[in-house]
Amino acid sequence: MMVKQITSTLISLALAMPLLAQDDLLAGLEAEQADQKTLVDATFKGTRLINGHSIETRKQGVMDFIIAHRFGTIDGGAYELFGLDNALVRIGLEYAVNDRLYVGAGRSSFEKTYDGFVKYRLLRQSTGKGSVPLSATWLSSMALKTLKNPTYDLQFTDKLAFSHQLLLARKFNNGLSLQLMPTWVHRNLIGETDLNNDILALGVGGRIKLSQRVALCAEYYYQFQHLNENTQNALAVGVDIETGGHVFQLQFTNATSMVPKGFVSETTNDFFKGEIHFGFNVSRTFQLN
Amino acid sequence: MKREILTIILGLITAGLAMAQGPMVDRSGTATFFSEAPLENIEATNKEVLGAMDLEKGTLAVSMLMKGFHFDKSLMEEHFNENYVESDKFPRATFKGVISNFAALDFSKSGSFEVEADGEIEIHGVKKPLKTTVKFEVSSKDLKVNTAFNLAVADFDIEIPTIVFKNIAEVVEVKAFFNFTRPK
Repeated sequence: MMVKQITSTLISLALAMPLLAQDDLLAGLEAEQADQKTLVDATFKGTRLINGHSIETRKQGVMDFIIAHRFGTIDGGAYELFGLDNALVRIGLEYAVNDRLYVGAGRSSFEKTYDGFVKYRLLRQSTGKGSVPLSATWLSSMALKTLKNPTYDLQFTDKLAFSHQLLLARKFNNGLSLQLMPTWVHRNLIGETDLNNDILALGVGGRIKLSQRVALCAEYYYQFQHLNENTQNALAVGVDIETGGHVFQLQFTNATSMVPKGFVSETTNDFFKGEIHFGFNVSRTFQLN
Repeated sequence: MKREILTIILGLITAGLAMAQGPMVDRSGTATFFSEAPLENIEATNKEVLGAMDLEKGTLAVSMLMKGFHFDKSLMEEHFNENYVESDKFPRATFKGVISNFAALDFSKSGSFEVEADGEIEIHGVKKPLKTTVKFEVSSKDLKVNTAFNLAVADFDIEIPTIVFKNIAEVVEVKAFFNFTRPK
């Protein structure tokens, strides 16, 4: 009796051995990977939050072609088809030199503006050993307004404006990412009724994912100084829709310009009076190498 | 009496240590998957796959980080992690299994043979039984292990939206390769 019990126990133990062994084997491997440092990807879907840049850049060798539209304001009513009769467009071409350095240039029909930017990822959020809790990206952008001035003969340097931003973001989880954007805008020349060459602003923004491919975004820039008495803070809400190689961003914003110096400090529409532009950004990426 | 028991225990421990060489581990194994669809073929490779094999028990284990898979198109890689396999939630894919008919195999002789491995694969938090043919190439220095099998994406609760239906295959071909250095 006793012998039988012991034998059956031994047999069942022997049978269980390989099963236990493979669990141990796997547990050992998983333990090796547990602490491995990995970068947090896709804090935002696109390189733009809405009007402004997100901390994201493309990976090395990727070229991104971005077409952005802002229609007229929706308070134009049915006569203007809620702004659709008027469209402003910015066409941009951007390239990732490496995984951190991103450069781009664009041309906006609004004030016939050319712009160029350099973006560099200083810190990348990561998990695991030696992890970094947030991402930081530096953005410097230059804009050249080429719309002819009817009264003055302006020099090249007079038409330039610069913006510098430190973009700080954290992906809290798969569904929620938040971003802070301390911003400095400098104009070489300002108009007679303008007050400040330099404007400091703080932007806040974020996204909430509604599904795997659809996200809700919002962005607001608070200005500490104003360019003149008419300017408003820029507010934007939008939806990101991603389909394979495309990212569609639909937005409602009171900003007219699509370059940083413009939407941060030249916005004159009042969002809450319905002076809102409907717009969209379409991005198409190409892997060059 | 006490001393005798102690000697026996010590003897047993020594014997146990000598016998248990421990599993062989390959930290740079390769896993690839290939998706063939009307609009495009997608291939991704992971060269940092951990594989372990216990030659005494005939057990196998594989663990890989999903973020270790690299694609030709970097945006595809981002979408793979973010939208399909949800790497933040399910960072790794694993396999554990036993080699069937292990006792009859001779790993001391050079040569190659194919056997069945029977186990469980886990991807995207979903566990499925997996039976696959494994090819061994045995030499005195190393042990090469090759396998290939097909997986249905839907079996692992990975959703393919209709808009990219023509870009991503419903069944992908998976291959894995390990090269274990034999203990001397």
